[in-house]
Formats: sequence, structure tokens, C-alpha cells
Amino acid sequence: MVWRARFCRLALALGLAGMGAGASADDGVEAREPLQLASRAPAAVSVAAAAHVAVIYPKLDEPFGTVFRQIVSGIESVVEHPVVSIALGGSDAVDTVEATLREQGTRVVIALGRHGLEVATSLADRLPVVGGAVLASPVDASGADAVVSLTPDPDLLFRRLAVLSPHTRRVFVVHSRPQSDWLITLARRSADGLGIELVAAPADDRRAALLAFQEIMREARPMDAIWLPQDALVVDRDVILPYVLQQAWDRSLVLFSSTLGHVQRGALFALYPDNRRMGERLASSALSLTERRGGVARVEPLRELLAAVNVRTAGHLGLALDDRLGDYALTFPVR
Amino acid sequence: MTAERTQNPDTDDAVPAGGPTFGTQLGIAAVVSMLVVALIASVASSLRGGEQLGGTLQRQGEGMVRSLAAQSRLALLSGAPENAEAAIEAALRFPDVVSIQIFDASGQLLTSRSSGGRAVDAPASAPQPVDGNVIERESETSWTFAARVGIGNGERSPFALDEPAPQDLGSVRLVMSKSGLNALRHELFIANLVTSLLLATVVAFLISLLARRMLRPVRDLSSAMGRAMAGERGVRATLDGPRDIAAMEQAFNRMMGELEAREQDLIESRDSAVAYAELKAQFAATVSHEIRTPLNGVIGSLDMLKATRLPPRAEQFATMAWDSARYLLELVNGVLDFSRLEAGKVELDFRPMDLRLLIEDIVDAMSPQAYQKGLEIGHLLAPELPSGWIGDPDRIRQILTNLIGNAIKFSERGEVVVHVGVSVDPARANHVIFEVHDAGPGIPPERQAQIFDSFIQGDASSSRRHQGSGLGLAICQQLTQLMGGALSVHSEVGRGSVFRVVLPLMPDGDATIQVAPPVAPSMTVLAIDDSDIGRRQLAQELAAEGARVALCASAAEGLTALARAAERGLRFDLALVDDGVAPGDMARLRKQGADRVKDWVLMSPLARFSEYDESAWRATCAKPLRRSRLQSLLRMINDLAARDVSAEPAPGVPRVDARILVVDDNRTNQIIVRGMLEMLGAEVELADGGVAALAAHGDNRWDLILMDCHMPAMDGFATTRAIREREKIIGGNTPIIAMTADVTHQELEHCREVGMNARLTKPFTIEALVQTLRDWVDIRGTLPGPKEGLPELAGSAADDGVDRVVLERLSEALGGAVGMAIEPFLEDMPELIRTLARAVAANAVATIQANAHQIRGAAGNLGAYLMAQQAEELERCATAGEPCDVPLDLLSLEFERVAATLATILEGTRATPRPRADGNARVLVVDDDRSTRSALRYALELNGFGVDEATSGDEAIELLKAEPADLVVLDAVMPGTDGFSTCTRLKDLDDTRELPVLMITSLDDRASIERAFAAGATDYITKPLHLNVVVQRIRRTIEASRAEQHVRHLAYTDTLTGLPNRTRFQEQLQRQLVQADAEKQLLAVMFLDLNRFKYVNDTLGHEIGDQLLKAVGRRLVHSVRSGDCVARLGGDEFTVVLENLSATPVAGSVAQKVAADLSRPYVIEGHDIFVTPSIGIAIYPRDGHDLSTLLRHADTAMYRAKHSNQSFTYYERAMETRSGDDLRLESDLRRAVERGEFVLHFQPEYAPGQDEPVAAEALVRWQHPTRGLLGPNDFIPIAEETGLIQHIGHWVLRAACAQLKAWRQRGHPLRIAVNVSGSQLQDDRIAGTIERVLAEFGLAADDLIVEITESVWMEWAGGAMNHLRRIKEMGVRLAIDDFGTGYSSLSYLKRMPVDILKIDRSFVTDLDEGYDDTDASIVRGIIALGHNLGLAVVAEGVETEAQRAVLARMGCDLLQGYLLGRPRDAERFDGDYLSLAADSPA
Repeated sequence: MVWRARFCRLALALGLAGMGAGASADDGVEAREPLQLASRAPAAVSVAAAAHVAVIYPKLDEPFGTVFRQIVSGIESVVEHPVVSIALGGSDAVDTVEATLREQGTRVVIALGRHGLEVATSLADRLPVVGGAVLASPVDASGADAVVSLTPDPDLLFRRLAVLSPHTRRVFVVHSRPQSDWLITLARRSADGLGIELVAAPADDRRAALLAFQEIMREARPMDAIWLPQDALVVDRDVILPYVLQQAWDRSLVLFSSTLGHVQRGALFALYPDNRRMGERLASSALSLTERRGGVARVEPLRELLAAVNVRTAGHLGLALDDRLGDYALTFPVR
Repeated sequence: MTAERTQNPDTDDAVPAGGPTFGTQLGIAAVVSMLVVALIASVASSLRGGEQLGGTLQRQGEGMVRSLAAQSRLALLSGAPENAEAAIEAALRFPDVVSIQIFDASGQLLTSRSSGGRAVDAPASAPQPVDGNVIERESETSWTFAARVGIGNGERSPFALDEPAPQDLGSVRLVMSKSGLNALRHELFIANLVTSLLLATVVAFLISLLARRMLRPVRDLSSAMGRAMAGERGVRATLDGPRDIAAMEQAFNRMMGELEAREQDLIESRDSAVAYAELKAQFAATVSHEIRTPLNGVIGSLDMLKATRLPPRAEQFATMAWDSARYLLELVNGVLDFSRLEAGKVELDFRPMDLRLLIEDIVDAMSPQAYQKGLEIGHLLAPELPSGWIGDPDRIRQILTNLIGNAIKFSERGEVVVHVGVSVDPARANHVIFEVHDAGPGIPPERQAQIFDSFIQGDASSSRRHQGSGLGLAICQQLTQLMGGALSVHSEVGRGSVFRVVLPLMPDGDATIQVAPPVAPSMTVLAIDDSDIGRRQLAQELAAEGARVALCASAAEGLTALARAAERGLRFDLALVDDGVAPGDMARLRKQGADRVKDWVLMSPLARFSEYDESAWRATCAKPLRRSRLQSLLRMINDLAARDVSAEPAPGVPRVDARILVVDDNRTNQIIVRGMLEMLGAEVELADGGVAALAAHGDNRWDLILMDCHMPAMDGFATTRAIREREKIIGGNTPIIAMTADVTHQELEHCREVGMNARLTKPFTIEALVQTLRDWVDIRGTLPGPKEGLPELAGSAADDGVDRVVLERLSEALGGAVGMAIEPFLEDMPELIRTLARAVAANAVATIQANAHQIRGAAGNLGAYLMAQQAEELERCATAGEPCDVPLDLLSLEFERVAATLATILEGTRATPRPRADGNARVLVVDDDRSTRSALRYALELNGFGVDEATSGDEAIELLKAEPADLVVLDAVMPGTDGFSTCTRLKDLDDTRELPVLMITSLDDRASIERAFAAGATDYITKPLHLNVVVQRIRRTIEASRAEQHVRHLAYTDTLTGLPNRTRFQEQLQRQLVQADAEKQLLAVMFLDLNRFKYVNDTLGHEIGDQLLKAVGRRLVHSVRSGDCVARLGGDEFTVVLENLSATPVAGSVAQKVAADLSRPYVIEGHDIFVTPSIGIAIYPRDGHDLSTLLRHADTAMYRAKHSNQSFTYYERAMETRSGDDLRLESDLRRAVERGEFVLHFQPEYAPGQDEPVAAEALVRWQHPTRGLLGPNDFIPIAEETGLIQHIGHWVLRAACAQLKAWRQRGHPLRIAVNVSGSQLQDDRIAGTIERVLAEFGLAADDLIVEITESVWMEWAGGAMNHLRRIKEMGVRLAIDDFGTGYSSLSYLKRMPVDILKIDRSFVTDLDEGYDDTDASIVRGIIALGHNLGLAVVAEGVETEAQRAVLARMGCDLLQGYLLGRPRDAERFDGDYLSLAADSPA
């Protein structure tokens, strides 16, 4: 029977090898950001004659395509004239776009996404530009006449926190100084109004951010909250985010975020853009821009938002959600 | 693989060893190739597997290092190695991971771990991995994987305006050992090898199976060949397998077939040859047997003749006849011997013998032949030849007889000489040489070699002169060879032949050498013989006796010798002259030698001496010469011995003192054997067959039985077997000696097998007989001379008028008191003779007859034969009316002579008569002769019988009336009523009808004997009486008579009751019928049967049943007139015959009385038993004229009485037709069962005051094809009798249940009641049947009510009760039908599992408003009883409203009757009784 035992071990070895391979494949999948947002049937985008408003956005694969189409449809619902929407392919030259805009008699351009904004601000024949669907801060020199950032307004975040976790009196936040200062300002204002102490820790790099979070973890008491702003440097999704999520869960800290994806991973709630309403707001801004030509370019946080909540985390924290679930457009884990 | 060894090592033709079998080779090839394949496959597979495994392990390592890099990010970012600890541990847990190192971005080692604390076998510096390739290094023993650790190098978001730059955190290194891989490779190889080997083994096994299957035909063929080689027959190969092998098998089979056919031919030839030889032997045996039987007569007669005293010449002839007969016998033996020799069945019998005597006997025996032919014959024994030898004399005799016979046959003149001597060769001193010289024509040399072949003679021409089979020489040749000798012939044509036999014999050392002194010393003898051999023999023998001989070849020489003697003054003491000398010469010789020769003796062959010779010669001497004869002659001449040769006593015959039974069917043999035995003094009785022998054996004790083997009907073997069987019981072991002519071995075996003690071969001589008897019975010495008083002929010894033998026998029978017989004879005879004389004078024929007859009988009884003869003559003459030759004076004279003799005898034998024995058997002796009576009385009393005497028939009859006797001895001829009429009268009287009568008669003619038997005599005895025989006969007859009476009693009486049985009854009735017919009287036959007897038998046991039958028998006898015949026919059936009936009704009153008497209770062993009889009466002549008709009719009437519950019934003719109807009905009923002609009708049962029936009783009807619808009473009894009830009952049950199911389905909550008969209940399967039927129709058990009549409850106890209990246990309800009509014992109600009582309609019928008190009380009682016992009560036969009202008031549970509903078929039942009930689905 010795040979049989050996045979089994052999099979075990072969199986283990396979399993190891499988495990590494899973690791790769886990890193993807799910961005399947509310999607509509794509409307045919065509260039209408004598349009006043043009929308320029990058031609991207799903799910971004849908996001842009929703925004465009929001724009189109406000603008009376046909909207010229230009999806920028990788090879589209600025000249071509310029020509098109000219042909169409475009008076204002709504630029969506980083690429769209870059193209719109680089046009020779300068048209007023409203930027949207970008994570922009006032410190970024975008060249747009007005920008509606994708960043949710902290005030709305804090208000929702107050409703959801009324006993939370302290909110920690770690931020990288240049990008997030304006938001911290807004947040502090709102926190003060709500009677919440905002403890903000600036961090220059990831290491500092990690140290700041470690410090927070040492200090925080249950029902204290941590706010994760849309700060790619601080909230590193590979290292820091898992760390924070784990620690908050262990210490029963309320973790809320400006990024929808974090709810799925364990944050209590997050606010995310309502694309259509955002389009409407962009269209309004664009129209008002045509009327007050030469106005100061400004960056505003987004207030057209939807909310998502993680029911499991709420349960973990002992928060009752039952009568307020209607306030949330999305609940996780998805049932 | 099987290595079959097909060769047989024991045989020389073994298949050469060495090469392995076909199968082995095939197996080895398969195994080797499988092994090679397994090895290659496992190597290839493990190489390939190792490669794949290496790849897999490498990918695993790569994956691990990448994964580790990702998991080290936190540790590198935070600078805390513990954050990577878990990941490192996990990685190290993988086999073969040897060490892990993590470096930070600056290339500083952050942490390093190795598995199992092993030294880190890795570079200390940080790795510089290239993107996409994580294998840093690979060696023979390990891989080193390395990966960079970075952060933030994901895709850029399209929404972010500025993304943080990717950050390098450090690197990770993982070292993985290849030892696991190598181990796995090794294991893989081993596993592959093992698997391959296993596979190879399996495949090899399969191949072996396949090979075995393929090789089987070859193996089978090989095995078949082996078996054929070992000699087995009928071996065939099975034709299967591939075509080439099948062809081999076919060839083998054909070869075997050929071989066996040839062998079969050989076997058949051999068998037929053997069978032919057997047949020949059988034929010879049969023929010889057939010849032996008559020869037995010849030889026996001669033997006896020789043994009696004969005149010398007669004896000579007898001897010659005897010798010839023996020669003939030997010839027969020769034939048999030849066949036996051929069959190899001859055995030699070596015993001491006297060679001289043998030779002399042979020559003597052959001499008549020779002398008749004018030949001289003689023998010469060498003087030095001893006489005593041990050999087989019979075979030697056979050979010599043959050779001498041949010599005589072939010699026309001259001499036949036998020379006997011993071999001169000292080494062969025991070889005796026999030579037979003849003077025949000689045998040509070319034929000499052939003459010893069977059936060949020297002269084979068709015109040969000599008849004969040519068998003799062949037999001689074979016998000689058998004895170890040789037979040869020396012959020259024209000069005769010499046959020489040389036999190795053994000298008999024990033989006493008798050196007898010379008989005739110094005697001078002149011998004149013209034959050469005669002279030589004389010279030799006379010289041996001391005589001096002058031999002369002719008369002339004799004269010369005499002259010479005269010259010398010599005298011859004796002159022996051959009769060949011419009479003239003889006269001259006698004349010349008258004074020279003292005694003249004539020698003549065949003892042909005339009376003249006897007187003219001093003595005669028979030729051929033999020593004993010559010695006798010389002794006589010398006066040495007084006796003549021929005057010597008959050879000494021993005295056999024994009682011997001779069993033989052949008259000649009977006489011969009896004669021989009587001569020896034995007491002999004959039985002429096996049956008679058995009877004789049973009657007497025998010292010996001589048994013929072959007899018709019961042969000797069967008889012997029967005797031996009987002796096993009664004891004893009588020697039985077989007498058989069949000398085969099988016969001998057969004799021994059945228990015979010895065997006598027919024909046998007295000598042989004595020889054989000597072993079994007491044989005293030799017979002392001529026996005194032994009568040779009746007249010859009657010098004193009385046969002493008769007197001896008489004396024996009377125990010495012979005077008891003599005295009355002496006293009565003178008066008888006087009366006779007067009658003769008066010519009174009748008186003469009577007296003469009486005298004859009386005289004969005492052995006065002459007197008896004279009396007989007188009687005959008187009867014939002739003048008589016998003067009465002569008779008187004879009487005086007899009387004188008897008186002397009486003197010596007067003995005190024995007292009369008080025997239990009484014999009445009826005879007018006092002496006979007296003798008989005495002899009988001596033997323990009681005796009465009567002198006449009338007196005998009177006497018998007063005192019965066991046997009557009746003299046939008596004055007055003679014996015949007396016998007839005795037979006519009831009391003496069975009395055995022995008729004594001196009339031994057939007519008288027939007359005696016609008169009814049991047996007859002829005078003169042999008293012993008479006594035996009487004893036997009485015994037989008593046995017969016992048997008669057994045969005619019922042993249990002592009443006459059926046989006796029938005989009696037959007689009474004849009488009744003659007297024109009435006669009644009553047939009587006990009711319920079976119940008594079954419940109380057969012993009590038997006692009851006895008691019934006794009462029955007392109930009728004393003369009426009461008989038991068997079982519980009795019959009574009433004779002389004044009127028919008398029989009825008798029957009534009988019934009353028998119905009284019987108390047997504490049981009170009640039985009643059923009596049928048939009246003669009204109801039948013959016995069987009357009996049958009485029986029929009895059955009617039984069925109608009457105690008796007269027969009526209608009963018979009814019985006929019953028969027809029975056959119809059988068909009805097959055709299904039965239908069910249903009668409703209601609860009082309800409209819906509660139950329906199923009643079977028979739709008879011609008689219409029949009720159960018309056919159920027959069905029960014939057993058809089983089928009908089953049908009823099923049909009823089927109907109930139909009703139930339509919502009617009915129950169904089914009647079950007693015989159905007897069937063991009844409960099972009911259960099955219920299940079949899906009915609950309590839906069914089983109804059984009360009488069935009572009659069928035991098993039936058990069946009922089983039915009840099932839940079926049981009802007693017709309750109240059966027996009044209610105890069974308690014991029986009953639910329902159904009151019989007879009680209900009279129940009306103004009802009969009795019935009402009964019904009320039954209802109360039922309710008290918890039973439901149903009233049957409710037909009026009044009855219904009364029953309802009484609380009867259910009612049934025409008022409420008649039986209807199912359809009409639905319409009439169920229409009100709503049909609703169940």
C-alpha cells in the first residue's frame, strides 16, 4: 500500500500547484474598481446644426461611456438647442474639434473628463468652457471658466453622517495638503455647524498618511468617524484603504467616504454623483456663462449626489437603518 | 499461465519431457512484453510528469512571490516587518519554500525568514528584478524568485486631474527548493511503474484466461488421447475450437471409432466363442443329466440286486450288468467331462487307491465286450509295482476304460492286454506307465498325430467300420495332461497299436503292505490256456501264490505235460483249463489226467458255466483272471477256506439306524432309494414333491432328508429353503442331502446356498449312499449276516405262518404289548372260522363275505399272510359266486399253525397293559373285529389318546350323540350298517358334520377308496394296519381338523364382538332363505347402523368405540329371539335376520324394541354414551328374493331412516328409484361444477321495525338443465357425499363476496351470510380460502357471516373446530344455523366461537298471536340464552305479521322469512329490497 500513499501525495502536489495558480489569479481580479453606475440606453449622438452648446468628452469604454452619456442627456434636457456632443477618439486632433465647433456655431463648450477639459482649454479660438466630471480642486490650473468637481460637497456628507450616526462627535480626516485644503475648509465649516469636531491630519505622502492613520487608530474611540476624501495619495487602495477598513471595523469606527467604491468595501456610506443632474447643473453653468462672459473661473464641489450605504457595516455599528433605507440609492452588500 | 502436463509418466509412451507446453510459451511471451511496455511507459510518463510538475512548481513559486510582494506592501510602507509576518508564514508553509527575504526601497533587508530555521541560502543583497520576469536564479537544487514591491501604479482615472506617482517600496525574494520536485518525480516514477505492473498483471491474467480458453480444445484433445492411451473405451474428443483443431479432433474420433469397432468385433467373436463353449457344456450337462436319471434306475437296481443273496450265476450277470451300466455311466461322464474339460471346469480328486484292484475292476468291466467279440483280455502288473498309490482313480479309470474300449473296438481277433509298470528312469520312479495293447489294424503314422483331436478317428473314411464319437482319445489326452502325464501311441499298420499313458502318481506311504502268505505253496498246477496273456497272467499269479506251474498253450501241450508227469510219477494238484479247449480235447485231457490231476477247474469268460460244468468240474473260475478270484479258488482247492467265491456274503452293508425322508417325484428313484435305505435298515418315508415333503417335515422329526433337486411345482431348493426357514422358528437342523444328476458347479453352489448339507450324485450306489450317510447319521458297523426273520418274499419265510416283521412293527407300535393284538385274535378266530364254515355249508354268500373279510383283515394285521390270502380267496369267490379252491380245512389248519406261532410269541411278550391315558383327544374306534379294536385302542392310548369303541355304525352314532369325539376310525365293512353308510349319516348330522372320519378298509381297490371319500371320509387306511402309521395318521388328522376348526371360527366370527361376521352371516342367510323359500315363510333382514358412532370414536378414542360396539352387540343379541342371527358386518354396521316372521309388522316392533334397547345410555369407563341406531328393514320375499338384494334394500332403508331421523324404516321401492336419481344427479352435478350452473339467491334479514335489510343470506341454487331450478336440499347431500361440496362451497363464497362488493360500492351497508358445510370445514385450507377471498374483493372480515348448522357443529369436532377458531380469529362472524334442532347439549355454545344464533323455523312456525306455549318458551329461552351469552339472535321462517310482532316483543335481534322477503337473485334482490335505499356512491 506504500505506492498508493505516494500516489496520493503526488496528486496532492499537483492539486496544490493548480490551487496556487488560481489564488494568484483571484488577487488580480480583486483590484478592479466597479463603476457600473446607473445606465441608460445610449442616445444617438449627432451633430446638430446651429447649436449653441457643445459637449466634448473622451470616447471611453464602458462604464465611462455610460457616465458621459448620462451627463450629456442631463445637459440636453436643459439646453433648448441641439447640443453638439463630440466624443473624442484617441486620434482626434484639436483642429478637427475646432472646425466642428465653428461649423456648429458653438458659443459655449462643456468639457467632460480630464481629456475633454484638456482639449477644450487648448482650443485656439477660445470659447467659454465649463469643466465637469473631473476631480478638480481650486489649486489645479485647468484653464476652464468654471468647473463642477466630482468631489461631493463635505457639507452634505456631514449632514448625512449626523443623521445616520447621531452620536458621532468627532471626525478624523487625513489629507494631502494642496488638493484637499479647500474641502477641509468647507468640511470644517459644516462640522462646526453640526457640532462635530473635525480632526484633520495633513500628510505629504503615503507613508505619512499611513502613519497618520495609525495615529488616528490609536486615538479614536468607538463612534468616532473617519472621513475618506477623494485623495488618491492618502487613500491608497492597495495598502492604506485595506488597513483603514480593517482597523475601523475592528474598532467600530464610523468610516464614510466620498468614493462610492469604498462602501462596497466596507465604509458605512458614501455620496456619489447623480450624473443626469450633474449634466443639468453643467448646462445651467454653461448657459449662465454665455450670459456673463469673462467671469472668474471657480471650482465647486458637487451637490447633485446620490447616497449608498453598507447595511452590514451599519449593523456592525449598531445603527438602525430600517426606516431610512429609502434615502439611499444603493445599498451594499447588493442583495 | 498453466503448464499442463499431458504425458503420463507411468507409461513408456510418455510424451517426451522438456519443452514447455504451448500455453506456457504463450504466457511467457505475454508476460515479458507486458513488463517491457510497463517499464517504458512508466519512464516516459515519469519524465513527462516531472517536467509538468517542475513547470507547475515554478508557476507556483512565481505566483507566491508576486503574492508575497503584494502582501509586503504594508510592512514596507510602514517599515514594520510584522505586517508581513502572516504572509511570510503562509508562504513558508508551502512545501519546498526555503527562504523569504524582504528588502526596502533602499535595498536594506527588512526581514528574512527561512523554513525550519535553515540557513538562508540566498544572496544578501537586494535583488534587481526585471519587470515580468520573477525568476532571479535557477539551480539544480532550487529556484530563486524575486519581485518588486510597488504602490500606486494602477491605471489612471479619466476623472482625476493629477494622480500620485507610483512609489517603489522595495523587493521580495523567495527561494524554493527542488527537493520536493525530485521526490515527486521519483514517486511518480514508482507509481507509474507500479501502475504499469499492475496493469500488466491484469492484462497477463486476462491473456491467461484467453489462452486457456483458446487452448482448451487442444487440452481436451490431449486428455482424450491420454485416456484412450490408458485403455478407456468410448473416448471421443469434443468437436469444438478452431477449425484446424476441430479437424484434429475429428481425425482422432474417427481413429478411435475404427479402433473400437475392431475391438468390438474381437469382443463379439470372443463372446460368441465363449457362449458357444458354454452352450456346449450346458448341452452336454443336460444330455448327461437326462441319461443319468434312467441310469440311476439301472445302476440302483443292479446294485441292490448285487447286494441281495443271489444264485452265483445270477450274481455274475448282475455284476456284469452293473459293470456295463457303470461303463455306460462313465461314457456319459466322458461326454460331460469333455465339455467340462473344454470349459476348464474339471477338478482332480486325489485319494489313496489300490492300483491292482483298479486295474482288475477295469479289465473285469471291459471283459464282457471283449469276450463277446472273441477277444482275450487280460492285464499284467509289474511284480515290483506297489499297489498303494495316491491319484485320481476315477480319471485313471476313465482313461483306461476309454483306451481298452478302443482296443476292443478296433481288434478283430487276438488279445487286448493292459500292462502296468513304473518308469525305469530312477528320476521318474513315481511315473506309472499304463499301456494298452491291441491287435487292431494299426494307425498310419500320418494319422497318429491327429487321433487325439476330438471327433477324429484313425479311420476317417465314410465307410469306417467303427461307430463312435472319437471323443474318447481327446478326453484321455486332456485328462492325462490335466494329471501332468502324457498320452502317446505307438503303432504299425497291421501290427496293432500300443497306447501308453505315463502318469506321475504319488506312492501311498500309509498303505499297509499286506504280505499275505502264499495261498498255494508247493502246489503243482497244470494250466492250459491258448491265450498268451492268459498264460502269462497265470504264470505270474500262480507263481506269486507259491505254486509251481506247467503252462500249456493247447490241449495237445496239456496232454504232453500230463504224459510227462505220468512218466515222472508226478501229480498235479490242480488243472486249470480254459474253456477255449475243444470239447473233444477236453474229454481226452480229463480222461488222460484223471489220475494225474487232483482237481479240475474250468476257466471260462463271463462265467459261462453250464450246470453240467458245475457238476463235472471241481470248481469254475471266471475270466478274466484276477488275483482275489485265483486266491479264493486256490484256498478252496486247498480246503483252506470253506467258502466258495460266490458263496461269500454280499458285501458288508452297514446298518443305518435312522428315520429318513426321501423326497423324489420319480417313481423309479423312489423305489430304488427306498429299497437301498430299507436294505440298510433305515426307516423310510416317501414324499413325492416339495409340498408333501414340507408336510412330512412338519409332522415328524427326521434324522435325515434325501432331497431330489428337480421336481415339478416346488423343487428341492425351494423345499429346502422352506424347511430351513421353518427350522429357524421351531428349531432343529435336519441334515438334507441333495440327490442330483446335475454335476455342474453352479448346481453344487446352489445346493450349498439353500442350506443343503451334502450331495449325492445320481446315479449312486449303495456304497456311495453309505459313504454320504455316514457323515450325517449313526451307522452301526456292518449288517450281521443275513438278517434273521427278514422276509425276502412273503411266502418264503412263512414257515410258521406269521410274518415276523409285521409282528415286530406291531410290537413296536404297541410298546411291546403285542399281546394286546394277539389275544383277541386267538380268542375270536375259532368262532369266526366256525361261523364261516357254517355259512359255506349254507352257501350264505353275505355271511361268507363278511366273515372272510374279517378273517382276512385280522390275519393280515398280524402278518399271517397265508391265512389272509386264503380268507381273501374265500371272500372273492363268494363275491364272484365261484366255487372256491380253498378248502375251509386248509384255513383252519393254517390258523392252527398261526395260532401256535402266536402263542409262543405271546408267551414272551406278555406285558402289563398300560393304563388308559387321559388324552385330550378322543378317538372312537368302530370295528366289528375285536382284535383290531383292541390293538388300536392300546396303540392309541399308548400315544395319549382317549379311545371309545363301538362295534357297529349304529352304536357309534348313538355314542357320538352322548359324547363327542375328535375323530372316528371306522371300519368300512361291518355287519349291519357298514362304514360307508355310517360315515354318510355322520356327515348329515349337524354335530358330527365336521368330525374327521378315518376309514379302515382292507379293500384296496380304487372303487372302495372313492366310495369312502364320497361318503365323506377324511382319509382311509388299508389293512393290514401298520399301527404306528395309523396312530400318526390319526394324530395328524386330529390336528388338521382342529386347525381347520380354528380357522373356520376365525373366518366366520367377528373377533371384536364374537358375533358372526359378514361371511358367516351371508352363509347363514343363504341357508335361511332356502328354508324360507321351501317353507313359504316371511323373513326380515334388519340393517342397523349407529348414529354418531364416529363422534364417539373421534372424541373418546377407538378403545371406547370398540367397547361400545361390544356392548351394542350384546344388547342386540338380547333384544332379539335367541335363534335370530345377529351379525356384525364391520364398522358400526350390524344385521339381524328374523326368521319365521308371522307378519311384516312384527319386524317393525322388533326394530322398535331394538332401537329402544340400544338407545339406553352406555356407561363405559366412566363415560355416559348415548347412541341411537338407524334400522332399515327388508322383508323376504316382498323386497327381494336373494341375499344381496335383501341386504342392499335393507341398507337403503337404513339410510332413509338415518336421514329422516326415524329409528327404523321399511324398504320401499321408491327409495331405489330415488337412489337411481341420486346417481344421475351426481353425474349431472359433476358437470354442473364444470359448467357453472349454480346461481346465488339472497334472502334479506331485517332488524324489527326497520325497512332496510341488515344482512342477506346467500343461498345456492342449481339451474339444472332439465329439472329447472333445484334447491340446496336436492343436491347438497350428494355434493357432500361426493366431495363436490368443496368446489361448490368455494364458488358460493366467491360469488357471495363479489355480490357484497357490488352492493357496498353502491352504498348498501349489508352483510352477507354464507352457509358452510361440515365437509368444507374439514378441509385444512378453509380458513386460508376465506381469507384470500375476502382480500380478493377487498372486504372486511366482519362483513362475512359463516353459517354452520348445529349438527355440523356437533359432528365435526376436532380439526374442524380449530379451523372455525381460525376463521373467527380473522374477524369473520360465525352463526349457528337451524339452532334448536340438533343436540340439546348447550355446553358447546360456551366453547364455540359463535356470534349469532339462528332459531330454526320449526320453532317460529307455530309462534302466533295465540301461540303455542312450548314453542314460545323455547324461542324466548333461546333469545334469552343468546343474549346472556352475548350472541345476536336471528329468527328464521317468519311468515306472518303475528310472528313478527311476537318476535319483536321477545327482543329478537333480526328476522328472516317469507313475510319479510323471499330469496331472490341479485338483480331482483336489488329491485325488491334495496330500491328504497338511495344508491349513493360509497
